[in-house]
Amino acid sequence: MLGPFRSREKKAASREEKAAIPAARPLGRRVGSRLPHLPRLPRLARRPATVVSLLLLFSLIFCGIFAPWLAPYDPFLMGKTVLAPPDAGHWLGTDQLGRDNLSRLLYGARISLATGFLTVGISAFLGVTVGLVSGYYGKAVDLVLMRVTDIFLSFPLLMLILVVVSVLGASLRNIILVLGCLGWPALARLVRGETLAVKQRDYIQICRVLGFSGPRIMLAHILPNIARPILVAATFAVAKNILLESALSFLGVGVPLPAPSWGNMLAGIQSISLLTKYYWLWLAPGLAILLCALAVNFLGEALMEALEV
Amino acid sequence: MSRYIRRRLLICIPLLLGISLLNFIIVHLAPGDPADMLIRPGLAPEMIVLQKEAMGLGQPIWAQYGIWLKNILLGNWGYSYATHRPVIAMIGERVGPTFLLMGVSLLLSLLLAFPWGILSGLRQNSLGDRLSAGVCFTLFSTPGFFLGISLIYLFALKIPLFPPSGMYTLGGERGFLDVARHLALPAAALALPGAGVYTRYVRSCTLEVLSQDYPRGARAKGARTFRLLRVHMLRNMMITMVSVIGMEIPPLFCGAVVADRVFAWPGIGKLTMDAIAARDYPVLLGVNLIAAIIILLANLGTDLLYCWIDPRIRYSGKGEPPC
Repeated sequence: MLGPFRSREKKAASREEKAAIPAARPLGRRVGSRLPHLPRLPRLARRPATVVSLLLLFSLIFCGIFAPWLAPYDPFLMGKTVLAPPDAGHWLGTDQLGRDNLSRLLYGARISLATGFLTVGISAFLGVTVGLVSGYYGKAVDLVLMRVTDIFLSFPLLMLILVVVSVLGASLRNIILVLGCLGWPALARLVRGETLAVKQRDYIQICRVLGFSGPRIMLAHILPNIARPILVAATFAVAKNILLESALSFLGVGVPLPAPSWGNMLAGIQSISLLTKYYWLWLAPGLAILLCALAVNFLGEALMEALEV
Repeated sequence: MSRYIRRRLLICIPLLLGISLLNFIIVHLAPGDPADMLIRPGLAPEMIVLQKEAMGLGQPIWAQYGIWLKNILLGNWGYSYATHRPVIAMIGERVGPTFLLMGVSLLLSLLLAFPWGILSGLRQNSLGDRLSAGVCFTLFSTPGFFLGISLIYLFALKIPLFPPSGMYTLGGERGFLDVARHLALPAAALALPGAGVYTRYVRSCTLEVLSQDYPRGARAKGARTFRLLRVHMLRNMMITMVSVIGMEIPPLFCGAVVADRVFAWPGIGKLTMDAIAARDYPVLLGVNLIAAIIILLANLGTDLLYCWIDPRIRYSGKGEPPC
């Protein structure tokens, strides 16, 4: 399950292209190289939308890393001016407790990006392991692992997370662990499918004849050859998890409150009067989530195109 | 056909067992003793032991799972810690509004996505197509609650067209129109991100179908675009789209949970959030189980729709739908 926009038509076209120009892809290159087709990455810069999203993403990462130096105020410091509109002193105004919104927004970038990338790191590790083992060994192993995957996939992820978080208690660490440990099934499905396709190739058969061990074949020979779709799926998963974390924090079961996260900055807006009078409370964090997810999604689409997934 | 349906139904059984097992494990991870929540305070310790025996808590864990499963099948889903009402009744009264919200927004997003996606596919790489790609990306990158809040701000507060929350006007007549007006904003907030996703899929389906020979053949024989779409392309696109819709049901459900919070919609999401606030585990488990059942049913529905759309599956009687 890649992003929503996997066009098979495009895939077919690129397959034809491969057939027409065999010299463009020497067979020998794919076997040994661990990071395949990285030279294609410069193609990313072809579209202006991609360049803009990359810039946006890097500046968000920059903001997150250097938040203590960039933020004009302490994000936890409660000031005297409560619910002040944006002005020269507070560019984005202050919240119900008089804390500076801009500072909270900058620190919030840390949480959103950290959850986005760390959770996908965990799910990618689990998903790739399950998918490789399931696809490579097949038979009973495959049957059992895929049924377990099906069970996880038939839960609405949010509900399962809500229950697990309410049992474990809400904290940033728990959110990352839960999102990471429950997000693997979709990736496992993808990796299994790709593994099944690659397993039939001659070079894997040769590896078997040479007596290489299963883990060695999976890690050194199959994984590098299925890295591209995994990279693309993982990118889309980052955007999904950033949105999910913000939704959880909005619902009050995500990052607990004194810590600023984009989602829980919006959580305070439950009453109509706050919503109408103090637009700066919800507009900035909402737009921040939107732009962040948008940038990552655009990047995923660009990667898909550049890597010809 | 009936063989296919039977196979599909049989596949559901191990899935449901696994789901219920997962649920059961989670309830056992929960802190606190279930007996403590139901037993009156000040009871003698011997009485508590007797009560626990009566509740089956003294038995080994697999036996407890068996009892629990039997109760679930018999419709005894336990009692809420907070309200002491049967869980199944509490869920029963919330399922309707959730189904209404999910159904209407699914319909809305498909009604939006089909014309939009087809048009964008027919005019591939035109300026409009590229702009619409940008709009779609923005739509499905929007967090649902932010979209909801913005819609309330714009269309309930600045321009008071729709009521901002609830399902009925307080003290008002509970008519169809009243519900429809209350439904407008939550349904839109739920439908728009979905429409973004579906539009991209419809577009790539259109491109895929257009690349085949038969539309070209029909075109060569003089079919107009509309007839080409209606007679030749739509049915083939539906095969892919049905599986896409099936895949998007779980996210739709999650969206409904969030929409319940934003719009105070009296659905399952509100029940869940109340249960979390009160640490009401029986309700949480019941809600989780019903969510899983809804999704399994949706998947089953998808498979049956395949059957109806694609005669190859109907007549072969088995096998996976071709994707």
